[in-house]
Amino acid sequence: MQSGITRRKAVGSLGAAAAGMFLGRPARGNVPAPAAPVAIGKCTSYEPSELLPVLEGMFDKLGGLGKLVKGKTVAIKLNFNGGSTVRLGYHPLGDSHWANPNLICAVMSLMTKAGVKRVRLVECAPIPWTTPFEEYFLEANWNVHDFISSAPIVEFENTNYLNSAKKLSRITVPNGGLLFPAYDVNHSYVDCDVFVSIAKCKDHGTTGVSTVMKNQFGITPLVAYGNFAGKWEDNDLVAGIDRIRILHQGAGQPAFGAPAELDPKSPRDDGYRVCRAIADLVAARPIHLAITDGVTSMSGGQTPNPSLTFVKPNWIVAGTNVVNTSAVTMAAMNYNPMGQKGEMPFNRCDNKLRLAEQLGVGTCDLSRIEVVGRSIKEVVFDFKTLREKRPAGFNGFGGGRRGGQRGGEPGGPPYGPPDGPPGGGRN
Amino acid sequence: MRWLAGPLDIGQREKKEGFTAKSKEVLEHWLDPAVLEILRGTPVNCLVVSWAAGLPADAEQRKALAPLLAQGKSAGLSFVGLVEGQANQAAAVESARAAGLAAVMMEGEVPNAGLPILPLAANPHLPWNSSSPVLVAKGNVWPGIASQGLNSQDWRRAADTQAAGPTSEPWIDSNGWFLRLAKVYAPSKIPWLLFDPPGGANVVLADAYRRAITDSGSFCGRWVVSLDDALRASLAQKEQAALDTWKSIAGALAFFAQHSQWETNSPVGVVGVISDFSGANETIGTETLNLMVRSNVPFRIIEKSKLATAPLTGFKALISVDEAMPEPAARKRLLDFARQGGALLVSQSWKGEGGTPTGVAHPRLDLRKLGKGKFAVCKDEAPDPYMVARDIHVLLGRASDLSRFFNLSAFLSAHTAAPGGASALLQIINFAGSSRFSASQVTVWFPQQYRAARMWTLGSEAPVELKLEPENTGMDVQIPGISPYAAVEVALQKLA
Repeated sequence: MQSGITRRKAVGSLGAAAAGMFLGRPARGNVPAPAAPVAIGKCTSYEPSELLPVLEGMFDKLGGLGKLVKGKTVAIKLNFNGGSTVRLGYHPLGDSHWANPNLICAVMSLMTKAGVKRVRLVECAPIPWTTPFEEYFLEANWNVHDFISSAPIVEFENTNYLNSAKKLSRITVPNGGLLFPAYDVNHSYVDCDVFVSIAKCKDHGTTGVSTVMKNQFGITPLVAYGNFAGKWEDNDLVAGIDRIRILHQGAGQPAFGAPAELDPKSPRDDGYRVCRAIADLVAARPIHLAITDGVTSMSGGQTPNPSLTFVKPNWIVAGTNVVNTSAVTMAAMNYNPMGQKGEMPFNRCDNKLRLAEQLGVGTCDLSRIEVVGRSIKEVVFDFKTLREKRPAGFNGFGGGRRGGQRGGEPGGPPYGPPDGPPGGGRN
Repeated sequence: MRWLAGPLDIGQREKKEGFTAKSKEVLEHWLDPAVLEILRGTPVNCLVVSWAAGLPADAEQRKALAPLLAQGKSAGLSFVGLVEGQANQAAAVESARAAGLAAVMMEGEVPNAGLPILPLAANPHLPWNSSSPVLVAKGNVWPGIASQGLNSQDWRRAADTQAAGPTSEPWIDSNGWFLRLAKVYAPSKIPWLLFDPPGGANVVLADAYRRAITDSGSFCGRWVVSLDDALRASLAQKEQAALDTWKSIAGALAFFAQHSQWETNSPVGVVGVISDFSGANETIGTETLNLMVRSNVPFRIIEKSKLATAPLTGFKALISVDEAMPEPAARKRLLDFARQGGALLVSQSWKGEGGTPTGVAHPRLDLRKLGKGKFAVCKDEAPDPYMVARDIHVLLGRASDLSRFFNLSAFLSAHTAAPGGASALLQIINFAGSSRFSASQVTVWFPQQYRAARMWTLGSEAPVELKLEPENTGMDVQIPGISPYAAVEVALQKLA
């Protein structure tokens, strides 16, 4: 593998926020937010024969996986949003709103080739703690054996719960945080050498788009941040199916001993709050490798409903800095990653990329980000125009009736009013 | 079909809340033989009329029914008299025989009746060994989302009164569990179910009736169709909306009559539920069946009395949560089943029967390893059947799923195999409402590499071929919509 990345760059990109904290001074101010190369790969299917060479080429351009994962324990944050039994039409979940399982397995295989020691697949799944996390994969009709056979040691951790740990682990936001000073999460987000986020690229009502940054919102466990955090159903299922009450609306404070928010008098508007929580979280838990799945996806919303459109952007974006990667992904979706509130897609929210940039995580200024592999112009897929053309009453975002067979975050069944997604699943 | 009409029905209902002059008028109107016209061209060939209840109106009822009986019999209809309450059963049977009724249904027996008696009992206490080919069960539920909800519209209630399970899934009332049990205890008999639509201010929609018919039909039973007061009133007035509703009800009845061969299918399932379903075990046994149906995990019933010799072939998990353990030989069979790799979930009485703790914490089960298998002992003396149904699925593991459903929320399914196993049939009842998001573009995944799939829906003359897509080593079957019922037939070869 060829390395095009220096150690200095790597340190800057792999943990800018952490570095800032170590230095004991704000990462903001005159210090420019880090920039690291972002790779774009053209990929037209999820066939391993196409995925593997495309991804390997992209990782090589980022400096090679070996430096990152050799001999290491890697945690991969999945993107289980929208319910395990809710599909966009007949499309399997990995084609529309979850990162595709073949892509995840391909990344794991390449990590194995690069010498990874262990891969831990992590996500907050709304199932009882007595149910093995793998069962949720099966419920979504994913083949667990494909994952198990893709790395030397594969572990599955439902991070809604403590599991083997005695308590949640605290991750502190450098420089104080925007919404919370710190967050309590499952130990797996701390007990790993390398943290990877693999997410689908989608539109998102509350925060503009849902890609690798938004994926970080899902590391917050329902035991502490769920609607009825601290309460239990059935002895083994946390009550409440999403984070609307505490994180979106600020109608309550986290449970389970998690830190309270910084300013209870701050706006209770989710367009203000969720983007700040995301910025906090990407600063508090640095992402070492961010991968956006844009091979196939959907336009118009984050959880399936019949009003959304299945799309084939045919690309993958990967980078070692999550904000940089998110910025390039947004550009590949034909959105302005530096857009202000009120500008599509940040129609009613602050720009989470800029907030994270202020925290020193990474820049969203495309002029400062080196794009390697394919160019943005070569691959751009126009999510923006599709979104602008959506008929009135089909905004595809938020407000859906929740409940259903499991519901929640991920969401519930396909029923609800026409102005909201089926069964919720907003996160 | 339950044909409410005449003085006896008036007498039994007039003291109930909500009975009005209009209600009385409708019950009188339905004595008119002209109303029988609605049955023309429908599969309804038998009417159940109130015959005796030990009330003063009994005699008047028989007299009032005479013209209806005469007209109906000349049109080829059979009549069954319902005898209930404090009626003199022998006298009631004799009068029924004299009036030319085809049978009576009642609790108890009358020696030398001279007329078929259809045994009537509250479920599940039916006289399974009766010589009657038909058994009639009362005490059934109106199938639908519990409390109220999408099978009816009660304008006085707030939407938040809708019942839900502990994890927010809709709580569906169904008689499927009882029909599954009836198929085991009396495989050659036809269970008739008595239940009425919701009363009061509920407006019962056509789809709610069709769900009631499909809930019985999918599990090989017959609902004795009973119409709500408002529909009967509107039908008597020949209102078009009511006639349309009736037409859809009749269409659903015709559908199951046309597909009666499906009743020869056998339930499939890798989970076995073992119980005697009686005495101290009645509640836990029957509720476990009820919750298994609701969980859509295919199962088969094993009678505890036959456990020592019952074949356990094809089972991967067994539930035995009766209060007491089975007798020693049967107990050994179950423990051997686990030792050989099966999953066994048992009641607290099995504590100390063996296995080594797995060390995995669980709030309800003592999880143990036994040989190659799993041995789970309930910690609670009276386990919650909802949890039993859920826990067995986890213990079994979804890797053993026989089907997986996508874009369905409130639904029930009945999974059976045709004799010889050439094809399988998955009947799905959708209990969700008719919003645009309900049950469109449904996918059912099967682990088998099926090559053919077709779908029957209520009112369809011919099946529709369904598209199959390979997915996760099995096959996705794509179903355009389920409103409110679909029967999906799948096969490894081309379907005849």
